[in-house]
Amino acid sequence: MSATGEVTILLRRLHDGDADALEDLMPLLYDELRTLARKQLRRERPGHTLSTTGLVNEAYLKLVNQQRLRVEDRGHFFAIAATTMRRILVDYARARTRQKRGGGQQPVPLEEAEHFLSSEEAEQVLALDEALDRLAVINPRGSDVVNLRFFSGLTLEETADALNVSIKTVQRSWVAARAWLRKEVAYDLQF
Amino acid sequence: MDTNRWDRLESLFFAALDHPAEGRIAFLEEACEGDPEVRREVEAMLAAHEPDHTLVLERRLLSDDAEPLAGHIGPYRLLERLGRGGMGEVFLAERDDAQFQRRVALKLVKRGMDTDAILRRFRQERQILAALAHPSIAHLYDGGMAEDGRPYFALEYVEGGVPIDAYCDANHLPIPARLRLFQRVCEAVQFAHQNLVVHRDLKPGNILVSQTGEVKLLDFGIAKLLDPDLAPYSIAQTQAEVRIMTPEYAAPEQVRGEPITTATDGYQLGVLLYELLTGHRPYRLNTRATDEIARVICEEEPERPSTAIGRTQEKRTTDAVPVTPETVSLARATVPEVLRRRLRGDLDTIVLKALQKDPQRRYTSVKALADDVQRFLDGHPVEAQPDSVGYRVSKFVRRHTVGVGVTVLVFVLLLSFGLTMAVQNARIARQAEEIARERDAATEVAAFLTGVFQMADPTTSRGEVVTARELLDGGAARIETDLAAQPAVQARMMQTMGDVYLSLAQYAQADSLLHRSLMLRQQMFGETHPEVAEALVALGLLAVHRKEVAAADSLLAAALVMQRQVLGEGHPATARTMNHHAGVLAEAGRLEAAEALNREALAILQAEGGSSAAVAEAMSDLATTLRLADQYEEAETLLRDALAIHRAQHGERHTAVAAGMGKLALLLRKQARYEEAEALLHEAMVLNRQLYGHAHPEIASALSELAGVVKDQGDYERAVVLYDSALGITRAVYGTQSVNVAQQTNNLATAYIYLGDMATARRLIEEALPVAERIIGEVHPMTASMRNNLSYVLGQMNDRPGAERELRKVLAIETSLYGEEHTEVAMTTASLATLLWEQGVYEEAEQLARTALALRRKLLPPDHPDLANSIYGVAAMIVDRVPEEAEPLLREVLAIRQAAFSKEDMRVVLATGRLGDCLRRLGRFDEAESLLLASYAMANETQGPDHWLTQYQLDFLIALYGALRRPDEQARYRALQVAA
Repeated sequence: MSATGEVTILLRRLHDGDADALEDLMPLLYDELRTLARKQLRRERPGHTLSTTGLVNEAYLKLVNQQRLRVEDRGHFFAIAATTMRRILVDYARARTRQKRGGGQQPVPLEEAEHFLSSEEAEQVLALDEALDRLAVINPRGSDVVNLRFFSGLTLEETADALNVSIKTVQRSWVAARAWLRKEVAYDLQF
Repeated sequence: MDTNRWDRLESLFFAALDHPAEGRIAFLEEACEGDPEVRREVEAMLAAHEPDHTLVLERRLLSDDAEPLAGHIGPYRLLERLGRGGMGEVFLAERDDAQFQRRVALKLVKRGMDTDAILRRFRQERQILAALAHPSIAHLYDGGMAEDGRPYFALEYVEGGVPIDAYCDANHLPIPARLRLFQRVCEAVQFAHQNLVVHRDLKPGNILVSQTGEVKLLDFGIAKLLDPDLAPYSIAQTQAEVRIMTPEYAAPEQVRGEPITTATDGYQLGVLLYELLTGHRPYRLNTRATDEIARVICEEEPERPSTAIGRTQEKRTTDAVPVTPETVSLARATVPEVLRRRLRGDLDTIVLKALQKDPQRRYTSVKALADDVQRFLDGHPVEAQPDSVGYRVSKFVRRHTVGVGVTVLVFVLLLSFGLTMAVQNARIARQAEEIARERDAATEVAAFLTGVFQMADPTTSRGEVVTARELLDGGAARIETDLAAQPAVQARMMQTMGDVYLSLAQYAQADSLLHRSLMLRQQMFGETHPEVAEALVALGLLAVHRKEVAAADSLLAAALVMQRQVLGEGHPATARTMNHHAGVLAEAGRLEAAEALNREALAILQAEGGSSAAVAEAMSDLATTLRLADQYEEAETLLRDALAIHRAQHGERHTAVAAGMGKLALLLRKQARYEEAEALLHEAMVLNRQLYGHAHPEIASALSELAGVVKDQGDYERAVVLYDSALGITRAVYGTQSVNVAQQTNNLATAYIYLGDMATARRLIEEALPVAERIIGEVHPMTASMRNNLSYVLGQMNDRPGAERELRKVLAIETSLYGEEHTEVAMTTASLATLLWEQGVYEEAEQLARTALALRRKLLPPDHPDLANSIYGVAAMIVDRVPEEAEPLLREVLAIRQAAFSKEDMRVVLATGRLGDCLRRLGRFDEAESLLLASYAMANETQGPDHWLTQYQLDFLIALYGALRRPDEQARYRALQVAA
């Protein structure tokens, strides 16, 4: 089956409560996003930074069969894509900072990582990742909002749709969570 | 730490933000008394909230957040941001170089969103807009690339523009004024549809009314080209649509992810009309939950507008007035009771028809909707009818989609089977044994179909939706085994399924089923039998569809002989076969034989009381032959009669109606009645897509028909696009080694020729010609046409001997196909004359040109452009020798061309210049001068100073001023000449 059909069906299974579908979906997305990133890095002019939002959008175009996708599965896709994109960024950041802790799904060549993230960004990615884990415990909605905004590139309005809450709620969660994360990341990186 | 603690952090954070910066410390001291840890944390958050604490990473990740105005983009100075969508931003900008001072809406791809897919979509929007020049569609000025490589384009800025609903309310427009404004919107949308563009996101925010009261349609950002093959990036659009679409304006098919057609815009116009009339939207969506919105849009019936105005609605935004029956009426300059009476009845019905869930039940076009509104305004009865009780019941049933769908297919198969049986029952009723067998057959069929349709049972099909095609494939696979005990039934079932495959253009499957069916029948009934004849006809038709003319000819001839023998001359089935056979004969150029057969068949059907549909078919068949034989008048009468019969029989929405329109359009085009033809083809195309979907041979041929008319009118670029998509579909259906593909390739090549790309045209023809010759032989109308094109291309590429060689072949082929007196022969003779003239073979050239002209005067109506070409050909050859004979000829040419084309058309300019030159030779200098100055100015303006046409006019002018002895002017025009 084509990846397109597969992703659409996995999303539907996920919607129907089949948690295993997630296990199948993440690696598929991970591979696609990495492939897209590599492809673009090869093509881009030097100095051009790759847009995570753009990558997720392209993966969406490529993998999701719109004709068969139900409205409610779209939110799912972007949530999972956000988690995956975040994992990829962390893998790149670890390669960039030469940290070996934990295991990424695929080894990342250093030059690819250097092309993808500046060293300052890489530091911040790692700090942000850990801070987001902490935020998820005390403020699950805030962490969902930040995930969708940062890693799937959704606008406030799209985030509201994906989480099925009002824009106002998203706006509020976003501003507070962002302030909290900034302070955590800044604090982490001081030491 | 738990979530309660977060809630406290968050509320303190926002409460502190509400305080002015200097009061925050005091506020927190008081609020966090006894909890210094919380206080420290909130203070840190407040500090981090400031913009200067933004992380480098954030800017990287949040590509969509506001970026500062960049100052200049291309020649435009940005003034303010007008809006921001998922993919791009829109700025108010000003062109401030010396040439212009113009304010524009400048659309720019958002930073970070410049991926290939999005850039393609952006470029596509630009292309769509460039093709849509209409006073009510925001005009595209230009576009380019910003310094950082992001593309932008500049659109007409609607000065003081407000959304249409706000405009109506602010001006207290009464219902009739709103309806008229709504009609302006419909016109713009209809115009887009005629250009094969669906907007897909019509809503008040995209429909502005300017200060002067003009309607402007904006934002084709998620528009779709009606033809998926014209829009290779339709996925990108769909994605954009799904993420950006305004839920309240989404049509059911958009929510369900089903194909979008012009009917989708029709629906959104229905929502708009609803809102303009009532101040409310059709559905009360009190939720942002997408699945709930989807359910409401797909299932709930909207309230009647006349009822909806009774609603009271909470304020939508804080500064808006609440929507009550009184405020709504006031904005419409009336009172609730009067408004209710105004809406009740026709307007309710019109709006609800536009809002039908099923696109098929909506208005057939946006124009039809606007027309019905006009009928209401004129006080005439409207066309829309309220839903019948029967329909409402059936709509209820339709919720069980799978069950009903399967029932319909069973019904179709049983029906076609039952009809066959009915015909045959009468014939074999005498044989008791046969009757018993038929009874068994019915049982067998029922059992077989039950088996097939068990596949649609979710427990068998693992819960996946089974399509009709899958059922068909499953059924075909089972015929062999399940019906082995009943070979007669098996054979008939194979034929039925083979016919279905044929209609789906799945020729390989059709072929194997139909051959099996023929074999079984020959084994059972012997060589000569009605059922054997029927199988031969089916195979013959398959060959016709595959354009295997020789095979079709022999199969149908054999079937016809058999049917005449066993069914009799007067049998409707015999008559049908006659028409099929006539079609094949005509295709092979044997027009007289074809016409005779067609007339015989029509006579039989009319005499034997054949069904009206059969008579109509026979009439169109005869008309087709007559058209090929250049007998237009009788052909047109026949086609219009046939179309009327089909409409009376099936209603507006039927394949027979679409096919009838296509045939009529072809005839009109043949007579140069292009506008009528194009309008008809657009109408047919909309219908065809509803009937066949997108990738189907019918769509391909409809597209190339349309392309042909577009080409005839001079829009070659659009013709290339249309032919190319037709070719794409044809390849997908038939593979590369097929006559259909060869033919479409030839069509596409023709369009390239008109565009002036000779190399591409040559490559395409040389690729297609051997394929065609291998399958249909050298002496065939299509190979003639391909060689003809090849000859032209070679001539244009300066290979004159090659061109002459091809053209003489064409003439030989055509003469042996059609005889001496035929339009095609005339046309080829004329081309050969021109070609020989160019090679300096003047005498033969002139003689051939006069032969061609004589033929055409005999064959064509006196105002036909092709006739003008022939006359021009002769005139150009004799003008320097006998200008007095050339003059009336050139005047005739000019008159024909001025009637047929616009005054900028090259052909008109050419004829004008040539006539001017002719008059110069006759010494009538004043007349000559005014004609030549006009033709020069027009050529210069439309083609530019270096174009050959302009240079040609210069030659004429220089000769004229030489004759007039006005050396100054002569020198002035000489200076404009470009070295050849």
